[in-house]
Amino acid sequence: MITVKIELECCEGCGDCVEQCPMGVFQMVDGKSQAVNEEKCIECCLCETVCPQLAITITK
Amino acid sequence: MPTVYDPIKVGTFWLKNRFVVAPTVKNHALEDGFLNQRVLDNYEVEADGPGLVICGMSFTEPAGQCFMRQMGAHHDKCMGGLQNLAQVIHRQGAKAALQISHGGTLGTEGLTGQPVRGVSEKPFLPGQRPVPLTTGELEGVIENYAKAAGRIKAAGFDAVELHACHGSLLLQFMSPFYNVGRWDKYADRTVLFAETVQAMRDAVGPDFAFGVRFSTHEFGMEDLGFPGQTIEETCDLFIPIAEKIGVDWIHASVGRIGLTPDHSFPPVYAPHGVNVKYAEACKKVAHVPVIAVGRLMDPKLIEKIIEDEQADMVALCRPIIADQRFVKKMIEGRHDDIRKCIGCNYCLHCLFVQYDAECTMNPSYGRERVYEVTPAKKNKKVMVVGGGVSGLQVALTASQRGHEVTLYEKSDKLGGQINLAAAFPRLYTRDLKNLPDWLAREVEQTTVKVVLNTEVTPELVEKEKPDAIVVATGAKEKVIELPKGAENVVYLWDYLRGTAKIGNKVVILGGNEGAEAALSLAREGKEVTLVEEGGNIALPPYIFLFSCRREPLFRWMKEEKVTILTEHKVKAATGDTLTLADKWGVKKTVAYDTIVVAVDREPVNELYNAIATRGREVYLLGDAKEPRNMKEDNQEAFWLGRHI
Repeated sequence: MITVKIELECCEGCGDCVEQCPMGVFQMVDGKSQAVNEEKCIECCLCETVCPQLAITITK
Repeated sequence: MPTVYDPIKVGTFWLKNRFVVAPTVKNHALEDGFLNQRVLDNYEVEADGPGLVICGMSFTEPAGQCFMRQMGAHHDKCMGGLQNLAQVIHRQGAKAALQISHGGTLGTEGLTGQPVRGVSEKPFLPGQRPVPLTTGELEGVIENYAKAAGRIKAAGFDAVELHACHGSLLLQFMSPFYNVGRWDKYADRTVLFAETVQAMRDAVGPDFAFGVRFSTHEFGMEDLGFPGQTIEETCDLFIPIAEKIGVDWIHASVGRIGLTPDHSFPPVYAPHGVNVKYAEACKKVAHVPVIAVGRLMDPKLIEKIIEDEQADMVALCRPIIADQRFVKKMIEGRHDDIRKCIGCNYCLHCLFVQYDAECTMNPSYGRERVYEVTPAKKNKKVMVVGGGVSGLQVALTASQRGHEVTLYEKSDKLGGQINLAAAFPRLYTRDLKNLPDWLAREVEQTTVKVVLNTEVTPELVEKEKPDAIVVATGAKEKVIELPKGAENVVYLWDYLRGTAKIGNKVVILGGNEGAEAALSLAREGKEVTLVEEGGNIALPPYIFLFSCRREPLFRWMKEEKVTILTEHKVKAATGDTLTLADKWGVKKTVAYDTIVVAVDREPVNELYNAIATRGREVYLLGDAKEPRNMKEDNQEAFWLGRHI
């Protein structure tokens, strides 16, 4: 099972993960990112690299 | 809601699913464009599964050839080979199409034996002086397109595709960047396109399927500051023209070779499916099926594109090169068995150095019959030292042939140097892990015994008494001596492990291995200076010259304001300044608070040196022989695995 973990304290709400994720996993909720479609994650890990705060971790 | 496994009607025929093998130049044919058994064997494997196979770019006339062993449709003598090709694809259950093109300024005089022809005198390669094609000659060019289309129909193919993308002659006429200075009707950028489509449609009749591949967006303005074909133009102008004359599909690619190639062939740094939005834009205006293409190697992403109706069909090029059974595995639900393309673009580099396309991931590409894995004559006890790419590949292949293999890895995980290469914090190189991950998964399903956390010593070798030993112990960073006074020195691999303390003013020593790090650090907000003794940066052994990886790296380094100093050596240091000198001895001081050393790697081969002289069958493999890249290591490991 793939988990998408977002360190909410670090999330600055830039929205890059929302924009870049090819599967539409993320959505902005109350100014922070949330993995609303976690089950769609394909582990490409693009979110890990685009996040300016390195707040996202993908684990299997 | 459509799925990628559903049939679709294209022209007058039905495809059994939405998978398309994208047109790929493989440089596997003969130098004069005729086909051989090698081409047929290659397509035979790839045609098992997809609904449509579009065979790669074939030249319509000798002056239009741009790759040394490109397929041709230029002469009636090609018919024999083409008939064989269509038959092989049909036997495997797919429909067959052939893509045709005139290379224009993509060709070279050395290849065609004729002066380079183009739309204008604007060169594509430095040193080219293209001779513009005259109005009368263009009528001949169009006629050759029509004749080629006729041959393809007569050879038994189900469809033909027109190559109007990536820099071939048609795109040269359609692009505002190239089509300058003409005085005839072809100065209008749509005319050659329209006339060619019309001539081809007339040649094949109304019942034969005929598609067009566009570079829907050239990225001229974004990347170069010059106008290029835009997605708006494609949707407002070219697609309606094509549909009015009568085409049966729109294949939405982007970019142009040489100028904006990293859009046409998105490398490892690019997001997956980065070009799907252009197919989506085309789908809004097109009345015929639209094919999406570009870095699509995730089964779930492919399924999503069709389900969300972003495109009607999905074309795969490099993912099929990496795993020729990709479509078959997806249909059978074996998504995890797929060997996913990493985007190293070695295949592309091969083409531009006029070599046969080969693949880092797939060592038997283009040699499917010749490199078949056959049982060993005598089963041996094989000890493989090192769990990186080389060790994993040789263990896998040797085991498949019947050998009893044990793989030893010093650390607690497999993958070797790739674990570090894929760990840049702010540069997307995660996909590099696809190869060791796939190999590890395959190894797990064989009888190979994997022993972690164990360093192999000569004593262990004595104890185990294997029949053959493969030493694949990899490489390590070269430790260099810096002038006294230099402080806060860390190495590249420390940065990648996450154990380095990096300040704000970083000087990276080593412009080749350090180029990617320079970008990653700059994106973290650091002030980065990249210092290189030689004349070139971003050319480590794993970045191939024509792999379209340097273009985005340079563009982004410029965006992030990385200072690049080539031909500079470190002369002296204090705790916070470095004194550099260029090749004429002119000095330059750079302020720093961290030095990152990223010079060459060197082999780790102590074990090999210790045991190689004892009369045993010992092999040295991979980076332990010479630190290079995954492509050479994987191919050599596969070769060794087949020969032990």
